[in-house]
Amino acid sequence: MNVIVCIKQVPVSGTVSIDPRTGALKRENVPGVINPEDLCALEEALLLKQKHGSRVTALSMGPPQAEGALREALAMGADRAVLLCDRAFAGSDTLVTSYVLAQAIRKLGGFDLILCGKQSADGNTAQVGPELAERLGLPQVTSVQRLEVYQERLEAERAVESGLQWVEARLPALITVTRRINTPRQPSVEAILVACREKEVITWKTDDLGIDTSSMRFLESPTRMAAAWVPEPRKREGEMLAGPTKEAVRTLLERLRQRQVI
Amino acid sequence: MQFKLTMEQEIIQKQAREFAQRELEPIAAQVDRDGKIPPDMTEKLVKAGFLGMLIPKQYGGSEAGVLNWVLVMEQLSYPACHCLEAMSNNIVGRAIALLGTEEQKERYLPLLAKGQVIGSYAFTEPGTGSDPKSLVTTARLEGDSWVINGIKRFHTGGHLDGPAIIFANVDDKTTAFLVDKNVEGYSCSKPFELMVGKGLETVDTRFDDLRVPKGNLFGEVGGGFNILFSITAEGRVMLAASATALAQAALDEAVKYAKQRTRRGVPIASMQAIQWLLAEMACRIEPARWATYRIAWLTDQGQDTRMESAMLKLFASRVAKEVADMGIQVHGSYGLTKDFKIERIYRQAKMFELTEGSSEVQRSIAAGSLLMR
Repeated sequence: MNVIVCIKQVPVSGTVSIDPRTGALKRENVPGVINPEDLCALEEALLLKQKHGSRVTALSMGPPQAEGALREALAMGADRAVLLCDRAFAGSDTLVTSYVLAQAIRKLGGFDLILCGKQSADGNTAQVGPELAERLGLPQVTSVQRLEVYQERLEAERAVESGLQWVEARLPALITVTRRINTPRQPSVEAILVACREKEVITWKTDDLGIDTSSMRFLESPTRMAAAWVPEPRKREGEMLAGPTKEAVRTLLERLRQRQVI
Repeated sequence: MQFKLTMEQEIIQKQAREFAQRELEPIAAQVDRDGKIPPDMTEKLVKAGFLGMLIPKQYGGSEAGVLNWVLVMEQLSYPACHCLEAMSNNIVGRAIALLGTEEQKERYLPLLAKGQVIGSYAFTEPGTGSDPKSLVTTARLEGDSWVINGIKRFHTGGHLDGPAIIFANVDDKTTAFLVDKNVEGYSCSKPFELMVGKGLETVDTRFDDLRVPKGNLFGEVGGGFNILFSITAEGRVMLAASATALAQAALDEAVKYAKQRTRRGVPIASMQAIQWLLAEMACRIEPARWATYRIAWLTDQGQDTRMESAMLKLFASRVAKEVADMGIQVHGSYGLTKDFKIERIYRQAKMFELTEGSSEVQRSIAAGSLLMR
């Protein structure tokens, strides 16, 4: 079984700011991590590797520093890592991102399953996975928190507003996962050293993917970001529960039940 | 010249940071109070690959290098949790790898790399402190054994099974031995109650006609000083990394507190007195950090860092103490309570000016090296 995992390097939480001129995130010289839900997607692929002997390819579109995320994926156990890196990809929205990823996946070929995180911690659109599935003509199941993969089909559990849903799909398919699906492993120092010193990260540019950058204009997004800002925290009125602890706890539980929190 | 960690170093640093946040931060206060280290801590350190970083690959280590190891130690020290005695396996392992016989390497290094034994080293004695020329512990050769008599004080991890590097006088010549702990003739006191908290266990170890195989001579008779200097040079860099991490933790706690604590409706972070304290703290930590990385890098290049590591430890240990002191000042009286991490940091910070050679010893080493030029 061949599994492709799409991962994105995102800024470490709390280290990024918004450029007031363009509204874009300022990413230069900001430390990056693998997007948390993509990390779970990668872990799920590695669990399939342990169970079925799958071959796992980590794929990422990003600037040169995104190589760090792929090295980490190799250290965790991915068999192959591919970086899609070209100046023409800078500032891409989800539409362009899914197009480029689709081109790369067609070039890689021979896959049974594509795993993605549900959404990135910086963009939060949750669009790339579904767009990618549509471009590749694949069945897709999103927000998966439990996955069982068999010879030619899979069963996926997803949380919906009304409860849990079990969905069956034929392979090949695309799945987006949430953080509830697993706890990613930590690579050892030895594995990191091997990944950084001995393994290769393949880099593809537009030419390698057969993308004609002069034609990329038609991929311009039909939407434009009008503005981006950090909202002021909303001041809420709180309620102090006075009295003995047992009574305060009783009152708190009642309030939480009334609000259907518990 | 690039003042930037490589991709490999960044990933290792990140993994160590996540390990510290996940495994050490949640238990740090409890360990400080009752000394109960989770029994699987060594196993977790082994799984993360932290124990064999300075041990050659052929003996089960990863040969990650001193700079990578220092990056790990810095992150693991940030929670101020004393449960990392097993990390001394790296120092002891490196010493054996560089200076031991092939038989010693094969016997001890794989076990150290896998955390199946805990390595340690002991020089200080009750009446002689750390004065190299005043060793009282003696060793004499009797047939196929060395017979060792004496006491070592403040022997960290001296009670844990594994090899200890012990220094003794052989005909007034300082000599090193590899001693298997907890065998006949080897005994330990109960751990000292230290102000740094209960997690750090340091004991007196006593040798009463302790018989050690002839093959456990470490280096040559009279070669003890060189071995001691080699071990303590790495120990100093490790402690500098830990001191820097502790100082960083003090700064982070102080910033967090200053932003939350209000006085007359405004955070105390808006007050100049507090801002100046925070600035003083920050401007001490950066030089300590980069000097630590540089000395670690020099060590990896095979350079003799006796003077540099002495200067580094002198500086970094002072930084930890001063920054912790300023951190408590930012917290005010709340810093005296165990509810705040700064209290534990403050108690632990003083240790760096005393262990692995006091600051006075470091000054003597640095001055001695300067005047020899």
